[in-house]
Amino acid sequence: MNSLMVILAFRNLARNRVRTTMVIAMIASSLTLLMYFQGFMDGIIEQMTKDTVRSETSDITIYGKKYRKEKDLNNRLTHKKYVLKKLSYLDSIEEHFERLEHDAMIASPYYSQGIKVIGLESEKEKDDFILSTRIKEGDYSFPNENAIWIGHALAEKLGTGIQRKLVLTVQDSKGEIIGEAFRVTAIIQTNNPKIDRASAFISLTKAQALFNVPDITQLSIKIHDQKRLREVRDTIQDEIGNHYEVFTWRQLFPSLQFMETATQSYIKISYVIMFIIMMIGFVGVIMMSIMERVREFGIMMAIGHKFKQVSLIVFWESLMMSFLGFLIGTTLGFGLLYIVNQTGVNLNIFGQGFEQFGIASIIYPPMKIAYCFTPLLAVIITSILSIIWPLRILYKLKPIQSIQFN
Amino acid sequence: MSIITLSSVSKIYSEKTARKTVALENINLEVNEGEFLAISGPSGSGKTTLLNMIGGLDSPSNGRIILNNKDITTLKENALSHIRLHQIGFIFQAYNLIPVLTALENMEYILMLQRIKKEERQARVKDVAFRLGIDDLLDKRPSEMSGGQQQRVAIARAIVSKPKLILADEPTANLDSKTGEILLDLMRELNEEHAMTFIFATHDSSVIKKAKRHVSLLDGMVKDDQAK
Repeated sequence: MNSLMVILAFRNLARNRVRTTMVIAMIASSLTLLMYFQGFMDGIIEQMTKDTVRSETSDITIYGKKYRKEKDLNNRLTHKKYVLKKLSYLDSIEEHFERLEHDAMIASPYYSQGIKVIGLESEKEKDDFILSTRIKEGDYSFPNENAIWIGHALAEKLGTGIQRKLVLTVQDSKGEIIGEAFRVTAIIQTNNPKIDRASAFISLTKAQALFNVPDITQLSIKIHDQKRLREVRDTIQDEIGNHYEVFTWRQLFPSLQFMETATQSYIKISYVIMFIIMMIGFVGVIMMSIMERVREFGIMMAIGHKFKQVSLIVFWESLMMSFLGFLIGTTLGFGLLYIVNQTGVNLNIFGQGFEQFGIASIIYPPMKIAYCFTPLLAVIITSILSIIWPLRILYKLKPIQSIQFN
Repeated sequence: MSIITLSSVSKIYSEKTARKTVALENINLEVNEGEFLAISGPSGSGKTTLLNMIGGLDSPSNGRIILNNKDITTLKENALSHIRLHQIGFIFQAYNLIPVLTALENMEYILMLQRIKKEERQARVKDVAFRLGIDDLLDKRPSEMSGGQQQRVAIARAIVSKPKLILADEPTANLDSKTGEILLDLMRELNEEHAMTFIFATHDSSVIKKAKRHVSLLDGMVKDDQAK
């Protein structure tokens, strides 16, 4: 019985091929554009998150008790061995990275400014932080203890380049002012303004010597399962106690979290608006299609069709058009995303200076299977909602009124 | 045995402007099983309205219609659909076949709605198609058939489910006289062979001539009722 309804619905769609094609094209093109838009926005957010988070920290970060409020060396992370021993009991942890960060003054013959000096373990961080992939000039290595990497915007300001000398002036943990010369071995471009404009990197051992501390200021932790981020953080905090503060990357970068939430909301609102517009168009088409066939439906009811069965034919027609539009739209959408995922979207076409806002000039939109879930749901809902009003008009007519409908 | 009884049936169409049109007034009619009845009258006399009331396509303003001992004036649309599907066959002036279905599918359609098994459906369709001489048209859609051929398929669709009552509204109006005559003979044969009750609303004198009983209407009232 249902197969008969499906056959009837299919043949009715085939009866007016131009209209059916137009409706399917409308749905497909809307979905393609929406998927592209969603991929593009996700690409921006993912790139910003990666560039910001993975240039500064890993999944979870441990600080000394008051360090986040007052970034003083006196609030540094002490008793590192105790912390590492506690962490060694947790199998959810994959790796840890040590950094020592403090304020300094950097000077070239032409310019000087306040910056953050970050001491790091370059070889250990190589695969998990992004710095190794963001070397604009030079090499990702500290060939000697006075090697220094600086952000590209800072390099421009200082008027310096590879193998040029810079002087770092710092106040060590005992309050002594110390100045030392470094040679630039790498210039970095991360799209993280904090790194590109006001940071310099030296080896961890050099930083510890420079600031005269045997400790570190942050211990970053990479975990096995991102889904357990919050749970692992809580476990670590419980294990190491209240002398330390433990944060997930989401807690450390609330603006990114906000941006991600805002973007998702924006995408959802766009979907709703698009589907309302689509539904209005769809209602128009279904209405026209029903009004053209009122007499035919009247005949069907006269020979024994129930209204429910007539509704089912109209529903199948609506669902077939929507679903075909969905299939074509998502196929084209994924195809388009695949292409831009390989080639990237060059934002420089639209203007310069996106890096200032932490956005890379080339965005690589991701391909996620989840992109078709919302459209699928929306297509089913649209198919149902768009036939209610036209069918209501039909429902109000007696069979004889339908047969005599002009 | 009575298949239809109309008691004091009236139909008044009320317009929003408060103008009332009386289509049928106080109709009393009893039709027995196996009758071959023609209802005639000038345009606007209420023939089609009366036929629609009997078929449950429209409801009377007053009075009762008993079909097979059931008062159909009190039934809801779903129950009326059920009665139309199982007890009544309709033949319309404009054939009214479903345009996207072939002749075979149009005939089989009602049987599918009745949830009759495929083997039986196909046997019945082939039998009726052969009987009506349309077995070579089964794969054709209505748009590929002549008026006479479409009306044959419409008759086949009406009788294939073996209803007790066939209601035919001007079935010969769009046909040439020869084709009309042939189809009328065919319906008469079905009436005699299967004791199907036929009620025609018609202007056509040849239909009236072939009918066993003739009811004529004038201004919504029964003017004459003659059995031959």
